[in-house]
Amino acid sequence: MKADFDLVREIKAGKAEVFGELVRRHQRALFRLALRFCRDEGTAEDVVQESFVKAYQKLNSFEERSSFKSWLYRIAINTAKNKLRSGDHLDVDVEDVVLSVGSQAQSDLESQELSRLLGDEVKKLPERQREALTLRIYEDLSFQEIATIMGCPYDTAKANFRHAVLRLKKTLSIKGIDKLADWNLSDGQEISNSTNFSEPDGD
Amino acid sequence: MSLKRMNKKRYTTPCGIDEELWLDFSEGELDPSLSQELEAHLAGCGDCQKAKEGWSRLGSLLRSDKLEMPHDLYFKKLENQIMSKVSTTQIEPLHPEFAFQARQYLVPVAAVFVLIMSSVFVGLHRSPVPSEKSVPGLTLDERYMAETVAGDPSVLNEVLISNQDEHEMLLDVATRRLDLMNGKKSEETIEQMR
Ligand SMILES: [Zn+2]
Repeated sequence: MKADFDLVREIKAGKAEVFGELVRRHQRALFRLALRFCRDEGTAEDVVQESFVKAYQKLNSFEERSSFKSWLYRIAINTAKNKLRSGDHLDVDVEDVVLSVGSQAQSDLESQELSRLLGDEVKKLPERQREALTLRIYEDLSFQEIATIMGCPYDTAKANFRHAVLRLKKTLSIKGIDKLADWNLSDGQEISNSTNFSEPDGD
Repeated sequence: MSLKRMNKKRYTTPCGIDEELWLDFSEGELDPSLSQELEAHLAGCGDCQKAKEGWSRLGSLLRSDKLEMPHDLYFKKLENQIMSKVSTTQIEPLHPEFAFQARQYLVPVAAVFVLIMSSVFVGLHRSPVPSEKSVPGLTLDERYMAETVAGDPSVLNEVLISNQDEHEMLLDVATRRLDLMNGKKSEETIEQMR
């Protein structure tokens, strides 16, 4: 199987039909990512289509400094955000972007309930934190890859992920859900003298 | 400058280990030596086992949510739609008009640049603390705060050049600083336990 880079070079050299192979390779992953962001199949489909067309048109600006997939993800995330911001889609509001959670039945009710509650909390995360969390948790990417996709330093990608998870945990604790999850951390002790910023609200 | 008013609560397990370390541990984000020490501690500490399992469980709860994906046929159709759009468009040449246009605007752009640079230069000699003001969107206080937390101006500058807003920047420097502190704190704790 040829590497993505080789296919890209062939396309740049004039073999437009080879782009179909890149579409076949990445459309499912891209669709899944878009669905996490948009919650809605129709919008996700639009995002995938537009992202691939943009990627094709801008292929000359792909300089092989990241993987083709990372580059594509970045285009898709920006496309999804723009789409939601522009009000292009009637059902989905940018303030209400959600990483779709809970679409498949969980084996037990408790997990299902937890999943739903988590999903509710995830959608309240600031945009950059949601991005980092999605890419890490659902796409299983390294922080280096996430940084490339988000166009930020490694530490920022990691910081956004960390704050997303901390915020989820904190909310679960406040709501007493940590006990439900057999995770009672309230008997821990606060570290004194820690010079620490409170978490910003992000965007 | 005191940052205490901005403190958020951080927790240790009863044995004194920063709980967030177990998040990094669960995500495989610690360097191997620290990770090994924590692993050794974990074997004999129920509280830390609980904390570590908490993070792992949160991670697996999030990860357990699988999306229902459309059928293969759907993707075949999607591929066709994409390829038919692709066939009506073209790969854009890299900055096609740039060479021509750039020359056209070179002189006015250079003039504006010189003007801006001279006003910055004049500004620098007028006020004792003007450089902070040249960072857009960041107040003097925020800048001082960030510098205090970053500790090292080069760290701050590295962060500032990326396309983030000031909140992200503050979060970023604070996290970096914390990473350092976490590392030290846990090393101390482990040392004390021996
Ligand atoms: Zn312990």
